[in-house]
Amino acid sequence: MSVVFLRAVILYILLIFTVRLMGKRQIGELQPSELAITILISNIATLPVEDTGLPLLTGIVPIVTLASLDVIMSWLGMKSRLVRRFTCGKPVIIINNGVLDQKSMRSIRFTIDDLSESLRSQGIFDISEVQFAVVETTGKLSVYQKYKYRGVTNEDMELKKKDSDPPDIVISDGELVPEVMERLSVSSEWIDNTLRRERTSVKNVFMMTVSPDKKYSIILKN
Amino acid sequence: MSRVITAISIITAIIAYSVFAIFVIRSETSELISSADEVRMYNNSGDTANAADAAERLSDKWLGFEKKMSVFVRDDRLTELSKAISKVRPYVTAANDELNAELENISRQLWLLYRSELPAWYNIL
Repeated sequence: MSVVFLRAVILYILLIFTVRLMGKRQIGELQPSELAITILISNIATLPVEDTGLPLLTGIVPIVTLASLDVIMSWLGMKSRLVRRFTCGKPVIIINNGVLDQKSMRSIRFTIDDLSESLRSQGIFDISEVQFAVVETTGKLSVYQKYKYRGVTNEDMELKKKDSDPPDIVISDGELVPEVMERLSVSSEWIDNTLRRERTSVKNVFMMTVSPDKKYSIILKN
Repeated sequence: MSRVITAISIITAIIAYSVFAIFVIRSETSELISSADEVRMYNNSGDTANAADAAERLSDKWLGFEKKMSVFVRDDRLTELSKAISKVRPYVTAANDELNAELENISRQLWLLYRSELPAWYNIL
């Protein structure tokens, strides 16, 4: 039993390392090859835990090899379009100029139901609203609507305001977040003075956000 | 870029470790096969005392080798070899007819163990 426990602990640490090595990606954003590798790694990881007769290395070696190859292929994909095509495929245009390209749909086995579902999930219930649509390499549909169906933008309304980054968290659960403070050029003195004005202190703050123009909001701990 | 360097380092380390493992297994299996041959030689010449000593040495070497090999090889394959090697000394002392067959079995299994670690097409496919 202790062998299984220790193996599970080792593999847990290894999997965290492997996932960190592969980088951050949402499951829905995984490329097909990345998804296959993720499933493969999770399957391999179970083998030496289930079967103590197997050396742990028979689990560790393929896991780190697959993750490393994935990282190397991603890097090569950044350098070479050809490698990118090979590992990720290419996006396929299925609606061009408002016209459905049935041949392209057949080539990627994308059904009418898939198309309707993807459009509905983006709030489009009438295909005639679509000017241009692409099935991305992740299988997600990207849609560009016809001009008359697109939302009104600030530019359309000729509203002018300076672009700025959104507010970010400088105090999280009573603790300062130095990297955000540095990015927003917020000093701890400024935070102390601000909190003094609000008659509180850092350890009593549940969350404090600050925008680049130094507007802030504070949520106190209960 | 640090991820790529880490990944390349890991792959390099695994390749280096695999090559190292092959050399370790080759040298250890050769040594054990020589020990088995030694037992056979003494036994065939009727020198039971030396054959028993050689069998003891074979058993001792195997204990060390088994631990090292358990890092690379499935447990059941090593168990089979352990069973076979544990029979050698009793067979020598009892002058059992099956000793040569058992020693041949041990040599063969050791050779197969080494062969299974080689990155040859018949192991890969």
